[in-house]
Amino acid sequence: MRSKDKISYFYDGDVGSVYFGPNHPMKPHRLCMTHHLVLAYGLHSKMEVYRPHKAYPVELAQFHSADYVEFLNRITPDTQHLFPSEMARYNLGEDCPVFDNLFEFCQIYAGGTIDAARRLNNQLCDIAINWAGGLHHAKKCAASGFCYINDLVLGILELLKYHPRVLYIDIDVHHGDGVEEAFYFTDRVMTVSFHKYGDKFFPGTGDMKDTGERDGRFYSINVPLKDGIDDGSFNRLFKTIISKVVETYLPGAIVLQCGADSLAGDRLGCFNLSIDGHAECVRFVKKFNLPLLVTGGGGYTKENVARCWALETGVLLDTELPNEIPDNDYIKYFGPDYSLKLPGGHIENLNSKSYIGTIKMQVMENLRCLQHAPGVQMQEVPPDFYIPDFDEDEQNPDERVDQHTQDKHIQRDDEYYEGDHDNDNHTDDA
Amino acid sequence: MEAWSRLNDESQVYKGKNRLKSLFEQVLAVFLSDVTEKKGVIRSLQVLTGGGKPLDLFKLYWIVRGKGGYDLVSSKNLWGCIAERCGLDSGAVVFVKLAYVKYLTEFDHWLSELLKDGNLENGESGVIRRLDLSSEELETRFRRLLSPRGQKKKDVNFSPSKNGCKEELICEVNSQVDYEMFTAESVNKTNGDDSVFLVSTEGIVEKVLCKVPDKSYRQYDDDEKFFAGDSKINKSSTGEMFQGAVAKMNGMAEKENVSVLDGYDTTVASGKSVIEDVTVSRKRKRESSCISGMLNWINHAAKHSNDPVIGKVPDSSKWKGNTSNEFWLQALLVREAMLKKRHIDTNAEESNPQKKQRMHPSMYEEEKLNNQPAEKLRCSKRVVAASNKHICCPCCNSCSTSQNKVETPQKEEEEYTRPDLTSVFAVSVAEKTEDSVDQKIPTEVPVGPRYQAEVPEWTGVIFESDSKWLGTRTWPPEVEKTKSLVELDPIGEGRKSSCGCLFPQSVECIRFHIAENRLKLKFELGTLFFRWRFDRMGEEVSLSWIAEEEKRFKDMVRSGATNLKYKNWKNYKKLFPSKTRNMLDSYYFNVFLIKRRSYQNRVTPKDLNSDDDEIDFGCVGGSFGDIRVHVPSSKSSPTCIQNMACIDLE
Repeated sequence: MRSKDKISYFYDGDVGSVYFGPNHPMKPHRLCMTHHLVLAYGLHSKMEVYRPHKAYPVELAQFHSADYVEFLNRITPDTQHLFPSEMARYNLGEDCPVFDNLFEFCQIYAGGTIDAARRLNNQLCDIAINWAGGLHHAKKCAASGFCYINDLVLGILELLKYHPRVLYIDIDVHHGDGVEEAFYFTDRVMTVSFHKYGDKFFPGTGDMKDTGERDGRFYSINVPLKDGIDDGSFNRLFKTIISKVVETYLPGAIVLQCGADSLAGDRLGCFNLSIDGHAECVRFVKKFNLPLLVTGGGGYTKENVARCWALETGVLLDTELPNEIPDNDYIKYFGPDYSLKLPGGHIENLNSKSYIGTIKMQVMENLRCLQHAPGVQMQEVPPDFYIPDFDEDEQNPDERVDQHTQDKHIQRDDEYYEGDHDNDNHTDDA
Repeated sequence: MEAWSRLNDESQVYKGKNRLKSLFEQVLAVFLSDVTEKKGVIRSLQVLTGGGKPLDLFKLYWIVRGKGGYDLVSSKNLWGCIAERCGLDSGAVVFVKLAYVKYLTEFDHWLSELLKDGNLENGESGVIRRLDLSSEELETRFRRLLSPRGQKKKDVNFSPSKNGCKEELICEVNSQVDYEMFTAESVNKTNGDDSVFLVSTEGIVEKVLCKVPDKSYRQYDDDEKFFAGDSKINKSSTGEMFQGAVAKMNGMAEKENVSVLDGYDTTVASGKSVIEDVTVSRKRKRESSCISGMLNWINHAAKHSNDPVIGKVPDSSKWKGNTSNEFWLQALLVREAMLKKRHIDTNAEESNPQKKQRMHPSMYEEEKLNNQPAEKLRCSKRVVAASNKHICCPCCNSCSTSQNKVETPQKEEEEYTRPDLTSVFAVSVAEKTEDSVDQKIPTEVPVGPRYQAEVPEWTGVIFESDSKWLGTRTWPPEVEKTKSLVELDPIGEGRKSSCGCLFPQSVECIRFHIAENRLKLKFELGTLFFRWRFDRMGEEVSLSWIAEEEKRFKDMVRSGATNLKYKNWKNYKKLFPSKTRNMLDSYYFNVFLIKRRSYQNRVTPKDLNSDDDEIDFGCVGGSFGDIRVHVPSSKSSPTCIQNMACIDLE
C-alpha cells in the first residue's frame, strides 16, 4: 500500500446556501456543516481542495436528454406554473421542487463529480471526494427522489473514457436506481447497491432478481435489506460481497456513493449503522488502492451527515479523528455530547441470519454466472503505456502471479486472472 | 362464504393437514439451512429416492412420530413398515432410515427441546428469529403434533392457564395490529393494490374467526377454508379474479376489474369490517394464535413480495409433485398474480412508470385535520416500532409500526392512534382521486433509449479527459503564505479538554473558543474564508438583523409550522423588504436553528431535532427559550460579545 494517497476534495461555497424549501428533508446546508467540520479538524492541510467548474448543459447531456437539461436550465419558481405538463413529465414539484438557482446547484455538484473523475483519469490524484454529489436517483429524462442531475452517471461515463470497467458501490439506504438503470445494459459498469427494500420503501426498485439485461446481465447487483441492520452484519456482508466483486470484476476504478441516510437515527432511513460502521465500508474500499471517487448522497439528519462525512474524509486521509468535536460555529448542532462518533441505533434488526445468508448465497451465485460468462471485455488489450495501480499482493494473496506473467508485465494486471483465455492466447501465439 | 360451508368436514381435515405440512416444511427448511451454515453442508430439502421419487418428509416424520419416535421404531425394527406407509417399497428401508437420520433426527430433537421449555422465546435459538413466520402458530401446531401418542390434531388442548392468558394477549395485540395496519395502509397513498389485498384478507380472516362455531377444531380448519377458497379461485390464477373474490367475500358487489378508485373503497370497507370484527373477536378471546400466525404470514407474503424466505413459486411443471403442498403454493400464486397485475397496470397507464413515487410522502399532506403534525405520528411510532415485523408505517414508508409480542406500550399506542382514525379515513377518501396515479409502484427496471445511458464500446483507445476543466485549486493557495500560526496545530486535533479560561466550559469560555477558532481559520484561509462563505456561517449572520426582524422571522416560521407553510415563506418579501431569499435561508440555518438546537441541548437533550421544520420546537414557554438562553440585557444584539470582537478585528 502506498504510504500516502493524493486526495482531491471538491467544494463550492455556494452549494450550501441552496434551499429546497421549508419542510423539505434535503438540506444542502449539511454540506456547509460537513466542510466546516472538516476544516475544524484541520483536515484541509492534508489534501487539495478544488472548486469545481459549473458543468455545461452539453456536459450534462452526455447522459441526460437534451430537452430535460434545457428545461431544468429554463425553469424558475416563478414560471413553473406555466408548464404543468413538462413539470409532470420531468417529475418536478413535490419531491423535486423547483427552487432558486436550481440549475446552478445541479451544475456545481455535477461539475464536482465530473472534475473528480477527470482528475482521477489524468492521474492527478488517487482519491477524489465530492460530498455534494451522489444524487443517484436522477433518471435520464426525469428528476426523482431529490435528485435532478445524475452526477454519478456522468462521473462514471467520464471514467469509462479511461477505464474499461468501473465499479459503482452504493451504501445509501435507498436503492441506487438511477445509476443501475443507466448502466443496465452494459458490462462496463458493475453497480452494487446495498439498500432497504420492501414496505414500499423508496424507490421501490432494487430487488435481488434485477441483475441487468443483455450485455449487462449479472452486472447489476442488488443487496436488499430490511429495517434495522447493524454494523456487524452490514460490514460482514459488505466485505464478503465487495471483495468477491472486485476479485471477479477487476474494475479499473471505483465510485463509492456514501449516502449517510443509512446511519442510525436518520430522518428518512431505517438502519442501525453507527458512523464507524458506515466509515468501515469506506476504509475497506480504500484498501483496494484503485482510483476512487467518493461522493455523498442521501442523509437527512444534518449533524449526523456532517459527522459521518468528516470522519470518512479522515478515513480517506488515514487520519484518526478524536471524538471531541473542536469548537466551531456549528458546535451547537452537535450537542448535547459534542462528540463525533454516533452509536448504532436500537431498531429491531429484521434481517435474520438466514435472510442475510440467502442474500449472500444468491449474490455469490450471480457472481459465479459472471465468472463463467464469456467475459469479452476482460480480454481487451490495453495500450502499453497504461499500467494501473493495482496491487495484487495486497488484494489477492491467493492469486499470486506466476513468474511467466510477471515477466510480461506490460500486460494489464487483470489479465492474469483470466486463466482460460490466457492459456488459449498463448497456444495461439505459439 | 356459502362456498366455504359447502366443503365437508372431511376435506377440511385434510386441508388442515396440508397447512400443517407446508408449515412444517418451512420450519424444516429454515432449521436445515441453519444447521447447514454451522456445519458447512448443503442439503436440499427435496429428498429423492433411488427411483427419483420425492420423499415426503412431513409424512415420514408424522408416521415415525406416530410410532413413538426414532428410537422406538429402530428398536422394534419398524422401518420397513414405515417405508411402506410412505409409499415406497420395502427395499427402501435403508434409504428411509437414512433420510430420517439425515434430515429429521436433529430437527426432532430440537423441536422437542423447544416445546419442553414451553416457550419459544426461552428455547430460543437462531432458528426462531430467522423464521419470519409467527412463532405462536408454530408452537400451537407443533404442540399438537407432538402431544403424546400422536394425538389427533383435532384435540386442541391448550395448556389452560398460562397459555390461555398468553393467547388472550396475542388476540389483543393482534387486533391492535389491525388497527394500526389499517391506519397505516389508508394513509399511505403509495400502497395501492397491496393494501387492498392485505386489508381485505385480514377482514376475511377476522370474519372467519368470528364465524367459527365454538368447537375448537373447527376454527383450526377455517383458516384452511380460506386457503381452499383461494385455491379454487386461483385455478384460473388471475389477479382480477382474485380481487373479484375478495370483493365477494366481503359481501360487496365489485366490478371485475377493480380500479384503483374502487380499490380504495374496498380498503375502507374492509377496514371497517376489520374493526367491527376485531371487537367481536375481543369478546371471544379464544385461541387466535393460528389466525394471527397466518395473518402474519399473509401480511409478510404480500408485503415482501420477493422475500426469499417465503420462497418462489415453482414452475408449473413441478406442481404435480407438490400437490400436498397445494395451499401454500396457491397463496404464493395469488401473490404472484396480484403482483403481475400491478406490473401490467403500471406499464399500461404510465409511459414513465417510475415517475410518481415519492421519497417523503408525509411532506405533502398539507391538509392535516388536526394540528398534530404527521411527523409526530411517525416519530412516536418509530419508537415503538423497535421490534416489529411486517407492517409498514404510514408516513416515512420505511419503518414498521407494531408487533405481536410487545404488550403494554402497544396499548398506549393504540389509544394514541385511534382518535386519528376518523381523520385518516376522511383524508384517504378525500385524496383518493388525485392520488390514484401514485398507487403504482415500479418494481422493474425500465428499459429503452429514454432510460439507459449510451456507453461506448471499450476499444482500448483512451479518450483524453478534457484537461481544461479539472476544477480550480483553492487550497492550498498557489502563493505560499507564512504559516507560522497555523502550523502550530497538529492535524485532526479534537476539542481541547482544558483551557486557560477563568471558567472553563462556561458559555463565555465556549464562545471564546469558537471565536478563537474562527479567527484562526480566517487568518489561515485568507480570501478563501469568504469564498467558502465562512463569513456567512454561524450566529454571526444575525448581526445584520435587527431584533424586530428576528422576532418577525420567528413568528413566520412558527406559524408556518402549524399551517400553510408554503404560502408563508412565499410572502416573505412583504415581511422583510430588505432581505433576499438567500439571507432568509442563511439566517434560518445559521441562527434560528442553532438557537433552537442549543435550547434543545439544554432543555430536552433526549429529544433533539434540527431537521424537522414541522416540529414545534418542544418549547416550554411561548417561544423556544429565547428568554432562558439570552441574558435579558442583550436583547438588542443577540450575538455574543466575543463574536463582535472577532468582527471588530477585521
